Amino acid sequence: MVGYDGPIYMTQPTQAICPILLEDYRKIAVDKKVVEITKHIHDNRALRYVELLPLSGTVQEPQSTSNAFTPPLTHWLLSPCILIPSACETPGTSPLMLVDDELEIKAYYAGHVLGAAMFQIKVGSESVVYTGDYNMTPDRHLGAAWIDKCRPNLLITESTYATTIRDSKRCRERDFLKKVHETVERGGKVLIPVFALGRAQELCILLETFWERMDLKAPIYFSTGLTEKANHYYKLFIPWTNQKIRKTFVQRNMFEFKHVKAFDRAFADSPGPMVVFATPGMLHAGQSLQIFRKWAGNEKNMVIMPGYCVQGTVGHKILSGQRKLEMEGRQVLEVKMQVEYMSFSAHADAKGIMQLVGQAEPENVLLVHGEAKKMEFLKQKIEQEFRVSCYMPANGETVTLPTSPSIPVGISLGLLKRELAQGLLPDSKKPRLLHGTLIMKDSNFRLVSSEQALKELGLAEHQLRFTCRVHLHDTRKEQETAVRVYSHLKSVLKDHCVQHLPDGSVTVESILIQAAAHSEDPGTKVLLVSWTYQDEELGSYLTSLLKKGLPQAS
Amino acid sequence: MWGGTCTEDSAWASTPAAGKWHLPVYQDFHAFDLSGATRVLEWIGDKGDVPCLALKNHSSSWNSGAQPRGTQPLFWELEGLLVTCSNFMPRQHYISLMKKDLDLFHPSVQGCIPMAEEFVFALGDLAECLDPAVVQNLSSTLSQLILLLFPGILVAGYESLKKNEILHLILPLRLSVKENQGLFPERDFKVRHGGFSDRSVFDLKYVPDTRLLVTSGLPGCYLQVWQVAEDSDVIKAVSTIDVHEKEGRLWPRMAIFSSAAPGVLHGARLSSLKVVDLESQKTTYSSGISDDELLSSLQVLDADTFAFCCTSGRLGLVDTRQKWTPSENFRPGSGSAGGRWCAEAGGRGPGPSIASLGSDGQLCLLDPRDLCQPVSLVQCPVSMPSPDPELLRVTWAPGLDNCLAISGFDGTVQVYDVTSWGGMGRQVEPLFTHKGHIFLDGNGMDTAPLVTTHTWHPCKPRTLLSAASDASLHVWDWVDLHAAR
Repeated sequence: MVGYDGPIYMTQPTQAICPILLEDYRKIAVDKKVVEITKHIHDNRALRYVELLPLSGTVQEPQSTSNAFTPPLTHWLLSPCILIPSACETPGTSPLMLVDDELEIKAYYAGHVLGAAMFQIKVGSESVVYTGDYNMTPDRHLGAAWIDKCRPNLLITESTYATTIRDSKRCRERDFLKKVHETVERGGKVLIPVFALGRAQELCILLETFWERMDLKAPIYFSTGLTEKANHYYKLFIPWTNQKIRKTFVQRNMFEFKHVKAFDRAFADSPGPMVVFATPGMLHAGQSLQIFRKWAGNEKNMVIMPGYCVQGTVGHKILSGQRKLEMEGRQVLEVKMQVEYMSFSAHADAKGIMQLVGQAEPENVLLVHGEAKKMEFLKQKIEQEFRVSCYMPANGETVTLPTSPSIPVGISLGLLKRELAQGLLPDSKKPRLLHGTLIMKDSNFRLVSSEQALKELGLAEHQLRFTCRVHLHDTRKEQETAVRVYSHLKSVLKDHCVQHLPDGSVTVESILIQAAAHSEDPGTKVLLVSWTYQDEELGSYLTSLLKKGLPQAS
Repeated sequence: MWGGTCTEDSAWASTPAAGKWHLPVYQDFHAFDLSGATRVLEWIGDKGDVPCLALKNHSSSWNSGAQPRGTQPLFWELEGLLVTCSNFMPRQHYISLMKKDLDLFHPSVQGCIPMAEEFVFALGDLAECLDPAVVQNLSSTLSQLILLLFPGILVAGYESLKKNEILHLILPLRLSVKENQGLFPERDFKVRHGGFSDRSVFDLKYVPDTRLLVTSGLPGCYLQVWQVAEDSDVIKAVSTIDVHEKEGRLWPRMAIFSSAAPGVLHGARLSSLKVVDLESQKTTYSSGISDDELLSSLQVLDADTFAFCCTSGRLGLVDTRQKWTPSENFRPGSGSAGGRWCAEAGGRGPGPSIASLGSDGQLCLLDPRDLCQPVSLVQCPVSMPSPDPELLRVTWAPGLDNCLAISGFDGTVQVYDVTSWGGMGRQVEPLFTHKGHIFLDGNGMDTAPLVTTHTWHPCKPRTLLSAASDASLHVWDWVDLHAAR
């Protein structure tokens, strides 16, 4: 769609999960619901790159064949995928990936879903961090997003939930368990339609723990197929999940559940309470819909929708409060079972955004995916707390950020040693002036002493001298004037080496002073002061000193 | 048993099988973390029975009646609700309200409304059609552009030497409506407006029917007036009201006289009590007495009267139209010495309507007609004395008869039914104790947070909000465990 044909970078788990997800979505796609594909593709971090491909464009064709998804899928799998080294949960293990000499990519763990990553893109000393969706709160199967103090020039962060103050995870879970427990206690059946990845694992771990703790006997089933496959992948990518799970893995596979068993079609008709996880998540087809049709008529039963549903799906209809559903064949299904909606979205809220900004210490922050009107406060908060600029550009608006790129310059050891010998030890916190010659050669910057520079470049040294005439009223001879100048300077400039040379001239360090008679006025003597460019400071000082005149001879 | 995977669940159920829970299983409970602890939980918006939506028509395009039928409907999106309005019926507007959740639209309220400049309709029961008569009656009272009067709550930090946030939070939709319909996925608060205060905020009042807030705090003896911006999400400081108080550690208590010209009643002592008109900043009332007793709470009762409570427990009702001649008691609780007191008037139902709470856990109920004789004086089972008497709170339930809640002693909030109380010195037991702040803290009893304030939900009779020193904010339902048995 945008004509991108370059490589796609993705994390390893994402690459592994991709085919399952795409397969899952294909099933929905044949049902002409393109919207949800993009929505759910969006939900998996690395899959967002699929949007770059002509994927949605092809699917939008009103094809009713089950192969509607095939061309882009194949295309996609054939397009070059480059794996980003795993950005695992353990802090400090985000490896670099060099794309070429200048561009490097670094993936950081983002929580959210398995394989989700935040990317730092760096060229030279300038870098941008783009977060995508991330979650700063660890959940039961994934850790919290983490970034090091990488000080990027710009942090682009998702801020969809920026104005949200999130209910505690435990209260959410409590509510979910309460609902399941209530239903099971009164002998009802609970249906939880899920997508293969993400929340399903989270909820399984939650229920398994709860069953263990409460010593519940009602069976929990897990619909076969996709979900099992996904669990299989989770097992493979254990380093990506949170630390607790990883530790437990040594003793026991966290994704092998004691209470959760594989579902068989016949179980749906068994009497007594049970909990069933079934795909797909929107009740539009497949096993979850079959079970729903069987159970909908009993008010003791319950269906818990753990996520978003697209318009037109059965899931969407029952969430909108519809109680009479028209099924195929003009059949009307009356929904008497309870309908619940539990949201377990794993996005960073305002607090999470602040945490991430604090961790990365960027120079600028750019908030995307939010409503500017509702984010002025967050912007002010970021600016106040971190003293950085914060931007919220509208769609299509361009933001220009001035950066002060640092240019690395090599300094010769000799120059450094000389500088060190001249003064006190440098204070590491204070900038210090250093004189030298900057040589730019082959995009290579070096600072060397001027002598070395002359030598390297084969140049002769030029001297720049300043000469100044100072008129003095003195009737005595030139030699005597010189002696007076000498004694005056000797008394004033105690720290400098003042000399009276045999030829009658006076020197102060390398500055030369000669006295001469005035050609017209015998009562006036002319002092010639001459100094090099390097001694400009002392030279000007001497001139101004001499211009004030000499003290009267005693 | 699994490894370390579920340690955090240990508080879930101490004795699971018996059904005895740390927290009552059937309690609805939400917990949030603010960026700083708050001592303020002030409602903003409609305090009436149901949240209302008020619309005022500014564009003449859709009330002129000149539009052809079937014109594009107008849309508003307000706090998770989508409002559409179209006029395909002559001289009528067809209004529908939809919950908006991602792309989930669900017409919740719909009905025809006679054409009017402005109208208000109730969202209380989202499934019911509108009664145009109700709409018309209400419409004259509002003049805001488009104002969604969902209950919102204001919180403010009280840390010293730090910027404190003042936040206007919108409750999750499922907590804004009377009946929990279960289908609201959102359990989260939304920050609607926010501002920064250089001072710690000890008290904050919303001036009804305006966009103004007044805060009191330390350091500096003045009240700060704030404005909630209409076009952005910022709360801006607009002006200050000077308070004359020599002692630097005292901060003035406040209450608002809401009328056409709202006034702020404030004072740290009886002698400094004043009413200042918000707009003109003129003093319209002052107590004019030399009594220096310190105040703990102020409450406006109607357009002309207010109630005060001194830290000593002295209570009084004052009519601002008259000279200082309050009807008052001088010693509550038959001479209980020491301790600090706070009070609230407003009990619903038959029986006494003023409650005052002492830092030693004594609760005194009074009839406003005879303040000298307390109706009852009871002892609440609290850890004594209160570690910070400034945080003592006693509040009457707005939606239930003879029900009140107290906090300020520890990490709990206790709910009482006062119906059968009588006499003096009785020990009473709470109907319900909210232990959520301790429960979620999980660090053991040593560091248990202290509840800083609590308030009742204006429309849901069994829902309360409470905040604690660990910056947590809880919204919870209480269940009468005795009745349930």
